[in-house]
Amino acid sequence: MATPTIDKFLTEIAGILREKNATQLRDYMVLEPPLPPLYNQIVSELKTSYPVFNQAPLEAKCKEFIPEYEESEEGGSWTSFITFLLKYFTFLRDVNVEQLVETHDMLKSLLNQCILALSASTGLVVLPTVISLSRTLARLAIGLDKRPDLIAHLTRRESTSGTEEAGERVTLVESSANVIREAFKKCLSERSGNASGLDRSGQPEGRRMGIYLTANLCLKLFFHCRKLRSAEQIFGNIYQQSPPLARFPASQRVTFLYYLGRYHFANSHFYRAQLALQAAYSQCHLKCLKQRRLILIYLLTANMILGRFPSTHLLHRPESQGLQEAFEPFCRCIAKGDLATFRRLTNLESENAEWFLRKRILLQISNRCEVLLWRSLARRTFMLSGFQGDTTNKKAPTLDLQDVLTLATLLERRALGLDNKPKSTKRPEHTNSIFMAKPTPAPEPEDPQGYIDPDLAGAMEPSGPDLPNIDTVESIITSLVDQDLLHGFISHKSLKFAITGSKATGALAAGFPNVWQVISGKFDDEVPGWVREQTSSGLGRGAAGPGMVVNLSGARPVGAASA
Amino acid sequence: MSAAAEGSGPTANAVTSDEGSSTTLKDQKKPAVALEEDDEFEDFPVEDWPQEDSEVPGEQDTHLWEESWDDDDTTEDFSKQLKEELEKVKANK
Repeated sequence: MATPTIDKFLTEIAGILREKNATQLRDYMVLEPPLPPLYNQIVSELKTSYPVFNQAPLEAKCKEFIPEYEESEEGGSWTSFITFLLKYFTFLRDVNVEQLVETHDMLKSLLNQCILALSASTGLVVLPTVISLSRTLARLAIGLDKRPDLIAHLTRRESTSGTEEAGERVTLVESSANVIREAFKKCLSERSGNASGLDRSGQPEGRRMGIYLTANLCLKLFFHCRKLRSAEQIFGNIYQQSPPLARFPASQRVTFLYYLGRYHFANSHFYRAQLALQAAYSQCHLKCLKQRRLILIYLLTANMILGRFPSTHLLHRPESQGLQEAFEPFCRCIAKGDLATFRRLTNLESENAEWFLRKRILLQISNRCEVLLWRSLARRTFMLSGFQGDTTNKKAPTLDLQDVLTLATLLERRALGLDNKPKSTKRPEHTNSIFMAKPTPAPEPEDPQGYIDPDLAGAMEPSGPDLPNIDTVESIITSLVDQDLLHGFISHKSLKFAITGSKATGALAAGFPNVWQVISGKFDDEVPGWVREQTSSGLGRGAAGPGMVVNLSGARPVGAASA
Repeated sequence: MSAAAEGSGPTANAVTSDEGSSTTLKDQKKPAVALEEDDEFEDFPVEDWPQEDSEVPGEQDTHLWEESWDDDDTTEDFSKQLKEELEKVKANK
């Protein structure tokens, strides 16, 4: 039976391949309905002339128009492209978009074949098609992931057929990301051109153009399914092999820096997170408010943890709507040392807790900003009751730890609802209680004593609220000194903190140095994963080479240490 | 032959029909202020733009971050309460 439309399509594809018109090829590979009329024609010709059970005639048809081996100077094989084309036809013929899960599987397999075509020596022309298919697959995977009713039956299947580590569940989203990652690897391992990976005009050469496009899609999916380990591999690979990020278009740079910042944030590297997110924010288009806002939320949190608060100006920008109400109360109580309000704000029952939790910043604020709050409380205690020093008698300014304990106890009691309200003794739930299982009523014991594990025999029942004592306060102050957030030493014997070096600047400035200056002074501007134009020698990428292991989540910085 | 690259096919179906299906009891709690929004980092509508398009005109030197936020006011209520407590505890000793 005659197949005029298929013939025409193949003729034009052959022409596109000869001209190496990559974007036109992408535009021809239409997948998503509603299909243009000519594509519907192709589908009906496929259904009548090339039925499902026999692929050979269709393959022969493709080869008729596209010679397997290119007869040009460069040579090269189109074999894998022909297989891709065959799969494309099969997709058009067999897909039923009502069946989203099956569509996803077919699309994944089609992309797989497209990536094989990309790997061929003739493959560069397929790159935009690979990107386009990857985007569609990513969108479909995330869309499906939000429909638990459609993928419930897959959970078991995936868990048994997982190819990664045994026992680890590979979700539909992750499996899609793993396919796109193959495209990313192909782009990154491009060997054409010189070692810099840039062509004469300074643009990424060959398949390298697709590095950040594919990486960003993988990162989107890995973040969606919370596989930060897999995201880490992407960052590590890029750090070792990619041309400088600055050579890629703004949308790719901003998206990549957003994920890189989030990754470092999730690993408690808040200074690195701040650098990446600040760069993303400063390069993000003014009109892209949604993206700016999302970047800003993490940038703002990272900065708060590092001791830098948002200016009123920043909080009045269009993308900051609502953020002032959410973040300013934290800043206020951190500056005051108001532990009671801080506990209330970080409590799961608080007004905005759910939003903070969903954004995955509540625990970071709760744990990390508490350090800054204790510094402020010590500072305030010193202002209210500290010995301000006596230069004539060479007596250093001191802070009585007992006074810190007095105030900390007052504020913790207030947070627990014990202050001035003796009736309400129920302790509000602390943030960390989400990690604890709810106590289930114990079954009636057969033994009147009940079962007591030998490990716990003789253990005391916890009684009363968890209020600070002098040891807690001493260890907190010691920790602050250790982090350079307080400057001086502790006399364990007299339970006092003595400020050193107060002569020149005064006790307050000497004993309680500026948080941001202390913390930022401990780091350089190297951000693993971010390939910059000029790199300092001996550090990070300057020393990177083939086979080098890039450790992205090493020791915690001061901003990450808890009191 | 011409081709329309963008369609509203399978993916659009999946994405648009998800609303409301993932509502849990937890989600029903009313969120405060204007904070509810999507967590997904959306694709940019354009591929590239010059740096000027990212800068608020006339704001190049505006400072976005407060590095000095220490609160030295010891006359407001909070400090007064703390001072009272310190005096009370010391008097009881």
